[in-house]
Amino acid sequence: MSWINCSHVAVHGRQCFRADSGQNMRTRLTAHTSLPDSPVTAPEPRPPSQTGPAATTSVEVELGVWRRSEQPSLGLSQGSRIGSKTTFSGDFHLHGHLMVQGRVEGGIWQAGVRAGSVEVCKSGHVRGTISCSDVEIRGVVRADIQSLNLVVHDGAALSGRVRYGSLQLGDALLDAAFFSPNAR
Amino acid sequence: MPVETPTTSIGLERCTSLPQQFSGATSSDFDSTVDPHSMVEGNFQSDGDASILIDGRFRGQIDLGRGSLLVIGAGGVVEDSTVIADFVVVLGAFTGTAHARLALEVMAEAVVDGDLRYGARVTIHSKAAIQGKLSAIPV
Repeated sequence: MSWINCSHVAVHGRQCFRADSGQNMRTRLTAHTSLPDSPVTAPEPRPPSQTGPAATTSVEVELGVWRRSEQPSLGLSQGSRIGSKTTFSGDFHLHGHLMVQGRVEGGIWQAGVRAGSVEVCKSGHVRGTISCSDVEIRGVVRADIQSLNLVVHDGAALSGRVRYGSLQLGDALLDAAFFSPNAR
Repeated sequence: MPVETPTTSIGLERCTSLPQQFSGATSSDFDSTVDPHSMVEGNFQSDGDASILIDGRFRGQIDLGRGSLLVIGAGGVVEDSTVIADFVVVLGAFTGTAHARLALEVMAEAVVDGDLRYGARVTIHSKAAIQGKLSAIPV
């Protein structure tokens, strides 16, 4: 992969451009611990029936109850996956890694404070919202993204609004508005 | 990003209703998975022979095509949902409506509350807790 200098990519407002791999420059921005305010807000998942009426105030509360009540699994599946044969529509609240090989229409949200990561593979399509610590894109994404660490690989296609902490761009097809960590 | 591909069995070797290609499948053999730490609300859809393993919490609808397999894992909680697949195996908790076009299998320790319909075969293991209606899909 060839990288472009991302320190000059941060723009305000909507712009269309295509990364030029011929520049052959590589710069990694330092990851920032916080992101600017984002319009992207995760919908609260409905509390499971077992949790009772008390767990209604926030995602954190609901997930806390959920974690306490979850059965210890066999510890076999280390991450989730949307396969190439599958289309998912809705909200996916993840606590780990999600690999998208198929289609997702809706939201992918990092639930709680534990770092979450999303990898959109070459065959993957995402349309909607991604709000996650680490996002890696090799496929097609039309979404509003909020991410501390965003990597867009060669051959990917990305459109939407992007708020990022650090950014790496390969030779991707871009039609996106990027908002840098210093954006107000 | 680290991606682990676990290869340990999830208990399908104890199933009696699954065809050979699914017997002994591991979580990495599934087309789609929801891991134990994830909470998902929405719809899974596939026209083909997709296989889905739900090991986390799910609410919504799952509609899979011919040759498909849906497994609600031992740690999976699927509630208020409608699921449709050729083969449906429940090892965890399920509430809602399940349509298994070919075979439905409820394993021991599974907890099921809802409307279960099956096409050709149903297998209920001892120690499984079932409450609701169990019926064959009209031909």
